Amino acid sequence: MNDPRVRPANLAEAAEAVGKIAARGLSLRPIGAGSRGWLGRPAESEAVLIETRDLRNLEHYEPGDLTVTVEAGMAFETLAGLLEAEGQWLPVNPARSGQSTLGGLLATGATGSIRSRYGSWRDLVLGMSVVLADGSLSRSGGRVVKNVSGYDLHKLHIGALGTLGLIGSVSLRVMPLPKEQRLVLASFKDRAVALEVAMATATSQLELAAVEVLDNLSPSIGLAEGTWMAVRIAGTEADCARSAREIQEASRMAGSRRHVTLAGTECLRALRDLNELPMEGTTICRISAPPSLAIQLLKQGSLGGDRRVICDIPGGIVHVLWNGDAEPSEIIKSVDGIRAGLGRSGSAILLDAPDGVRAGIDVWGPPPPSYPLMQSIKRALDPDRIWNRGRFIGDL
Amino acid sequence: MSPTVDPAVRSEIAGVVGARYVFDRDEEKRAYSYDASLIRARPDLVCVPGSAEEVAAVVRVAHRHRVPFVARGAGTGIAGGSIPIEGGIVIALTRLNRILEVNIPDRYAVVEPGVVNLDLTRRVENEGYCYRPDPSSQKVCTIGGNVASNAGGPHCLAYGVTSNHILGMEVVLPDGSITEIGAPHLEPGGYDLTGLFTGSEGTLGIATKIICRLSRSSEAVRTMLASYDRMEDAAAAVEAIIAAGVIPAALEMMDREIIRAVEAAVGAGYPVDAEAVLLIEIEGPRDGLNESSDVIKSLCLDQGAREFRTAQSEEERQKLWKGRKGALGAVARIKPMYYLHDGVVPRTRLLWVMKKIAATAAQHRLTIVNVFHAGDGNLHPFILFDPADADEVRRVHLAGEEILRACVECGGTLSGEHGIGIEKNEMMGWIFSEQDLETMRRVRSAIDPAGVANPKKVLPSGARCGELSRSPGSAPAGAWI
Amino acid sequence: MTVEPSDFSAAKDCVSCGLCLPHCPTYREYPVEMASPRGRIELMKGLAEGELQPGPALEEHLSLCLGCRACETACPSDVRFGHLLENARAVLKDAGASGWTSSALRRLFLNQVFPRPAVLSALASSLRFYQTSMLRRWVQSLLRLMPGPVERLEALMPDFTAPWSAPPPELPAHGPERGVAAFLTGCVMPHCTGEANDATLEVLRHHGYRVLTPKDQRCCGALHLHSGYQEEARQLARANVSAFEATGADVVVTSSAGCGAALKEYGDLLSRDPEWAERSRAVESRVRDVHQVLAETDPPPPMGRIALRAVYDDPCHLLHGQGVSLEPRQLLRAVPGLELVEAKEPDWCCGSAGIYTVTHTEMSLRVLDRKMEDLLSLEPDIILTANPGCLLQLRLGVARSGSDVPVHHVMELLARASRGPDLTGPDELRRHGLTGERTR
Ligand SMILES: Cc1cc2nc3c(=O)[nH]c(=O)nc-3n(C[C@H](O)[C@H](O)[C@H](O)COP(=O)(O)OP(=O)(O)OC[C@H]3O[C@@H](n4cnc5c(N)ncnc54)[C@H](O)[C@@H]3O)c2cc1C
Ligand code: SF4
Ligand code: SF4
Repeated sequence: MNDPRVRPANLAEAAEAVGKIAARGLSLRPIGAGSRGWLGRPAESEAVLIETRDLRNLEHYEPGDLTVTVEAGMAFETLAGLLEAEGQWLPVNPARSGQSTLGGLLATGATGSIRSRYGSWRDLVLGMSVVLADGSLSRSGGRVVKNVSGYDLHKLHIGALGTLGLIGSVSLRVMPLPKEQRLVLASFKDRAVALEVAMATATSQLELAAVEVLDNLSPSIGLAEGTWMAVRIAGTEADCARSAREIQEASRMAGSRRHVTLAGTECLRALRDLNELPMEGTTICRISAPPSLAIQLLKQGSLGGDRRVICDIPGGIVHVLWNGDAEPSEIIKSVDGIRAGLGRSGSAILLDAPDGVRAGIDVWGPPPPSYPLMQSIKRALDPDRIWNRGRFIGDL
Repeated sequence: MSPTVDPAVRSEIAGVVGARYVFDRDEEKRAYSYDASLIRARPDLVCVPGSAEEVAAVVRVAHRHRVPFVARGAGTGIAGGSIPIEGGIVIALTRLNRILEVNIPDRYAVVEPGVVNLDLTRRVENEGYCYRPDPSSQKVCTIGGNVASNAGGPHCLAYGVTSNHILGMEVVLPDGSITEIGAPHLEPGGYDLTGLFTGSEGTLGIATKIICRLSRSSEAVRTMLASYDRMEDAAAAVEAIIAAGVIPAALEMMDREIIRAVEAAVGAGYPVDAEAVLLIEIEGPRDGLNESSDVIKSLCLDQGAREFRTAQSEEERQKLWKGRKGALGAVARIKPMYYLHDGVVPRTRLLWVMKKIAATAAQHRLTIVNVFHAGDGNLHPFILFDPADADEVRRVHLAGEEILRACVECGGTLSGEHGIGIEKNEMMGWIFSEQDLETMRRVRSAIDPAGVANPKKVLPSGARCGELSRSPGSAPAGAWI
Repeated sequence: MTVEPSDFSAAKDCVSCGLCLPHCPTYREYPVEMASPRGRIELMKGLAEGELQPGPALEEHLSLCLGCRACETACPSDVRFGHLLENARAVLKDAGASGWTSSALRRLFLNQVFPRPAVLSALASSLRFYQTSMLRRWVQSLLRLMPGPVERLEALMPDFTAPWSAPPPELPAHGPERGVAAFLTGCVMPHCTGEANDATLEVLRHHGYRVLTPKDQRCCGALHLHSGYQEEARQLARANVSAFEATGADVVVTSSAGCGAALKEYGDLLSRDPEWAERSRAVESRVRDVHQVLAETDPPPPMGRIALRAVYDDPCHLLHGQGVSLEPRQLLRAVPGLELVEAKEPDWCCGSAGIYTVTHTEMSLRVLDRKMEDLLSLEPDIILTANPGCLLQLRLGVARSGSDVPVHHVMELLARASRGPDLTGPDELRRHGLTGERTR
C-alpha cells in the first residue's frame, strides 16, 4: 500500500492537486473509504491515489426543502444519521455500504433492492460539483428538486467509476422516513412458484418498497434452507397491515408453508441482516434484464442453478454468488453462459471476483451500442485518460 | 442573417421525405415560426419525415451542407426550443406517432417521438398502467418534446419528471448517424447517456424512438381543494404539508385572477371569490388515503383555509383538473398576451418569493397571475400585457428578470420544466460559472462538432449575461418578443 | 361590405398554446401545422397584416379546413375560429384567388342552385340532378378511392326520386297547443332526406306545437358563408329574417344543425347593416335547434318502445356550433327500450362539412373512416344524427365499411316512437325501417 497518494482537505485543494498531477502526465485514482475498490478491471497503469475522506462537509441541509448538499467524502452512514435526526432518509440501500463514501457509491452506481420504488442515484441526484482532468471545478444541476437548466452532466458521473472526474460534492433529494415498515418472509419449496408469487406481488397495486427472491441464502440470515420471498413494505400503518395480510395470504394459497411478518425493531434488524450479508471472497455477478426475462432464465436454472441468488423482482436485477472455493474456470464458463442467454437484452457484470477470474474474462462484458459516443464524451472531458485508466469499459 | 437553403438541399430533402412533406412557401414558413412562447423566427425549409431513417437522411443532408436543423414536436414549448432562430431546417416529428411496442410484464413501451403524451397513457390504462409524466399540455405535446425538455407536470411531485421515466432511446446524432442509448432494463452499462440526452432540448440530436417506463396506476386517488382568503396562507399550507412529511401526488396553487379566468373558460367549480386555491391530490393503496387526507386537511385548516372540499366523484375530480390544465390558455381572457416564467425556489422560500412577485408586480404596474406546481417550488408567474403598449412590454421584461433573479438569489434556478431554449440562455451565467458552461460546451461539441443541431439554444452565445431584451431581426412586423 | 383587418381581431386572442390541435380532424389526419387551427389562425394573421397575400398557398391550406369548429370548443382562450375562417374565405374569394379545382362548380351551386328553391326542386324532381357534374364527379371520385361494386355506391346516392313537397303553411298541434314554432325546412334536406323533415314536423306537433312553414323562406346561407360568399349570405339572411319575423312564432326551429348554426349568427352577419341589425338580432334570439325545443317539453309526451341499440353522432354544427349535445341524448334516453351507447370520439367530425366531400374527397373520406371505425365498433342497430349532410356522409361511411347499419335523423326515431306501435328489435328495423305510414 505505498502507492503515491494525496489527501486534499477541501475541494479547492483537490482541484489544485488534480491539476498538478495531471500536468505531470500521471494517472489518478479517486478513493473514498476503499470499500468498493474491487469493482472494475485492474488499473492499466500505476496511479496516484486521491483520497476524498476529508471532503466530508455538510454544505447545506434544509429539512423543509427535502434536499441536502454534502461533500462526496462523507460516509453514507454519517449522512443517514443526519437525516434520521430530522425524520428523513435517503432512499437507497446498497449492500454493505455503511462505511462507503457517497462519492464511492455514486461512482460505482451502487443501489439496492428498493430502487424500483424510490429510484436509483440518477433519480436522486440534483446536482454535482466535479473536479475535471484539467483541475477545473465544474458544476451542473442545482439544489432544487426540479431543474432543467443546462445539461445534466452529473448523470454522466453516476456509475462512471470515476473515469470522467472526481465527484466533489453532491446535492440530493431526500424523503420523509416511512411511518411504518414491515418485512414479509415466505418460504417456498419450488423456486418457480416463489418467482411467480413474487412477480404477482410486484405487479399488484400495493405500493411495496422491495420484492426479492432469495435462493440458497437463508442460513446466513438465520432462516431455513430453500427459496424465500422477502417483501419490504413501507407506508402508513393501514397500508402496511393490509399489504402484509394480502401477501401472506397469497403466499399461503401458493403453497408456502412458512411465512412471517416482521415489524418494529425485528423488521429493522432483519432488513439490516439482509443488506449486510457477508460476501468475503465471494464472486458476485450482477445481471440486469427485463424482469420477465430474468425470471424466465431463473426458472430454467440458467441463472445460477443451484447457486445462491438474490433477485430484485420488479427491477429485473439478479445477483448470482459463488463461494471462494469455486473454480475460476467454472465461474467464467457460467458467466459466459449467462451472457449468451441474455444476448442483447440484458447485461451481466462481475462486481467482485478473484484475480483468477478477472484475468480470464472481461468483468464488464461487451460494450453497449453507444460505446463510440461514450468515447467522444471521455475524450471531451478527459482527453489524456488520466482518470482510473483501464478500469472501466473498453478504453473509457 | 439566416442562411438561405441551397436549392440542392431542398431537392435532396424532397428526395428523402417526398415532395408532399417539404414546405418552403412563405405561408408555410410562417406556420413553423412559433411555439407556445413569444419568440418567433422563420425556418428556410420545413420537412415532416415519416420514419427514423428519413430523419437520419435529412440530418445527413443538413450536416453535409452545414445547414442548422431544429427538431420540433407539437410546438407547445414555452422557451422557444423549437424555434429556428438561425433559420435552417425545421424537422417536424408529428408523423412519427406510432406506439411501437407495449410490454406490460416488463413495464415499458417503445414509442416514436411524435406520440402524444396522453395517447400513451390511454393506450395502457385499461391494463392498469400509466405513463407518469403529465405536463398540463399532455393532450397535445409529444413524448419527444417532453424528453428534450425533460418535462414535468402536476404529478411530478410524487413521481418525478420525464428523465425518471425514460429508459433509453434511439437517437439520430447531429452527423446523421443512428445510435441506441440506454436499454429496456435498468443497467445498460457505461455512461448514462439517456440522462444526458434527456433535457438537452434537441441540441445533441433527435430522438427517433423512446423507451418509456410504464407505471402501475394507483389503486385509489383522492382530490381535494382548499381555498384561502390570503395567498400567504396558501403558501404557508404548502410548506406545512411538505414539512409534515406527507408528499401528495400533486400540490398545485392558483391565484384569484386565474381562478376567475378558469371558471369563465371551463367552469371547474373553483370559488371565484377566493384569493388562492390549492388543488391537492393523493394516490396509493386505498387503506392509507384516509390518514394522509386527514393530515392534509388539518394542516390546510390550520393555515386558515376557509373551505376544504374533497371531490366526491370521478366527474368532479376531472372537472377540478380540467380547470388546472386549461389554465394556461384561459389566461389570455384576462389580457391579450402573457410572458410566462417557470423559475424554481427551495420549497421553504415559497412564501418569500410569492411576496416578492407581488411586490414586483406593484412596482412595475403590471398584472402577474400565478398557477403553479407549488409542492415542487416550481413557479409559473404569468406577466400579462398588451403587446401594443411598448412601455408595458419593457416593464414586463424588467419584472420577469427580477423574479428570476429572486429565484436564483434564494437558491433556486431559472427553469423547472420549460427549458432554457433561446429565452433564458443568456441568463445561464446567473447560476453557472464560465467554467461550468465551458464544460457543457465541451460535451456539446463532442457530440455536435459542426454545431448544426439547434444552434444558439440552451448555452449562452458567449456574450455576457443580462442581455434580456434582445430583439431578433427575424421577427415579423407586428410580432414582438 | 368588404372584410377589414379588424375582422381578424379575434386572432389576437390566440396564444398559440396548441391545445386545440388534437381536436382538429385535419391535423390528426395530416399532422402539419398548416392543417391545424393554430396554423390557420397564423395564416389569417398574416393575411390581416398584409404580410401574406391571397393565393394558391393560402387557398390550399385554408380550404382544407372542415369548418367543424371543434377547435373553438377546445380553445381555453375563446378564439372565435369559425368567424375568422368565414372572413378569411371572403377575402380569398374577393381576391379571386383560385386554382381551387372546384371553384366554378362551387359558384354554380352556391349562386344558381341553393338560393333558388324552384331550381333546386326542379333539378331534384327531374332526376337530372344526378346527372349534374357535381354528383357525377362525386361518384367518380368515390369510385376511384374505393373498391367494390358500383351498384352499391349508386345505392348511396340520395334518393331524389321521391319528391318532397313543402308542407302546408300551417299544421295544428296534436292535442293541446303548447306553443307555435316556425319551421325552417333547409334547402338540401327536403330533397335528400325528406323523411327527416316530415318527422320533425310530426314530433313537434306531437309535443304540442302548431307549426308554421313560411313559403318565402330561402336557403340559410351557411354554405355561402363558409365559402366566402358573404354578400350572397347576407341577402339570403335578409330574406329569411323578414319571412320568419312575419310569422310571429315563439320559436324558429330547424332540424338541420348546419342551418341552425347559421341562423344563430344572423345578428353578427347583418350587424353592420343599420336597417337589418336590430331585426336580425330579434329573429336570431328566437332560433332554436329542434332538440332544444323538445327537451324542454315537460312532461314529455308518451312514447312507444323501441328496442334498439343506438349510437348518436354529434353533428359539428350542433356540438361546436351551437353547444347542443345533451339535449338529443336526453330525448333518446327517454325512449323506452332504447339503449344509447357512446362512441369513443363523439366529437370527431364525420368529414361531410357542406360540399367538402366533393372538394376534398380524400381528406373527407379519411376523416369519415375514422368515424366509422369508432361507431361500428359499438355494434349499433342504428346510427342517429341531426344534420342532413352528416346523414348522407354517414350512410356513405356505412356502405364503405361494408356494413348495413341504417342511419337516421334523431327526429325519425322519435317520430316512430311517438307514433307507435313498439318496434321490437333490429330484425323489424331491417325489414320495415323506421317510416311505416306517414302522418302529416
Ligand atoms: C398549455 C400548456 C401547458 C404546459 N404545461 C407544462 C407542464 O405542466 N410541464 C412542462 O414541463 N411543460 C409544460 N408545457 C410546455 C411544453 O408543453 C413542454 O415543454 C413539452 O415537453 C413540449 O413538447 P412539444 O412536443 O410541444 O415540443 P416542442 O415545443 O416542439 O419542442 C420542445 C423542444 O424539444 C425539442 N424536440 C422536440 N422533439 C424532439 C425530438 N424528437 N428529439 C430531440 N429534440 C426534440 C425541440 O427542438 C425543442 O427544443 C406546457 C405548455 C402549454 C402550451
Ligand atoms: S387553443 Fe385557442 S389559443 Fe390555443 S392555439 Fe388553439 S386557437 Fe390558439
Ligand atoms: S374548424 Fe375543424 S378542421 Fe378547421 S381548424 Fe378547426 S378543428 Fe380543424
